[in-house]
Amino acid sequence: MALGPGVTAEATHWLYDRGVRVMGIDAWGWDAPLWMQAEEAKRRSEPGIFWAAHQAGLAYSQIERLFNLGELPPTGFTVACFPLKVVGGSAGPTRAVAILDG
Amino acid sequence: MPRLVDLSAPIRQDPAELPEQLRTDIAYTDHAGGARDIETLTGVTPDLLRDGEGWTVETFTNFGTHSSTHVDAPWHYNSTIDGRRAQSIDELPLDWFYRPGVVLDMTAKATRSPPPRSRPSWSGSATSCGRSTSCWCGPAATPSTTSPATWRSGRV
Repeated sequence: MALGPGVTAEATHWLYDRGVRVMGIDAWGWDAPLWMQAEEAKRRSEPGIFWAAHQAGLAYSQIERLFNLGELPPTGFTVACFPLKVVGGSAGPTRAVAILDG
Repeated sequence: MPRLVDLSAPIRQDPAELPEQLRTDIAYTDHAGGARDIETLTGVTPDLLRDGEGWTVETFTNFGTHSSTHVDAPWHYNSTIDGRRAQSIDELPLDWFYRPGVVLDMTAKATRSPPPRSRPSWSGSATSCGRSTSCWCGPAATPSTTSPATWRSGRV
């Protein structure tokens, strides 16, 4: 929750432009830790800093709080991460699982 | 059978010092409690149950949709995106969530400046997860047109 590089809005656009619609991170949130964003947003007193990647204006999904990414190869796996079907929901908990090829 | 890797966080009772908005609280009903519930609901007494035990049940007394490993929907970010109402989680296509993946290892960017005084005390608590350095990305729209291997070289 306290540390992590976070993903920028630019990087989120970069992934989206390559067809990625589901992104995930093994940190508490997709953007940098909240306290880091808050400090920067208040210091510069302008919008577009706090929650910049979340509010990049893209219709994509992101998974937060993934575990065990270090056990995965760079490629060669399928991810099953079906979210619970919460009507009108902003998110759904998931039992995310990687299925390794071969 | 292919090898499976669990990418999910355990869901468990959080420490009391976490703010309520961030905390998971779970009430566990044990076999004796389940037996009481069965008697209340049906009139069946414990002596009619195997070993006198009823069912166990867990109730999330404080558990949000974002409290554990979860998938965010566009609706979470904003009410409209591209001039249209943003989709909620139940409206997204299922095939988004069963796709080839690629890992982008951001270990080199894992550390940033040390926490300032403004960092809240709860921000270092136990709900953080694994290495906090990697992001997994699943191609959804056009997986065949872009080689996943090329994504690793991208700067994130």
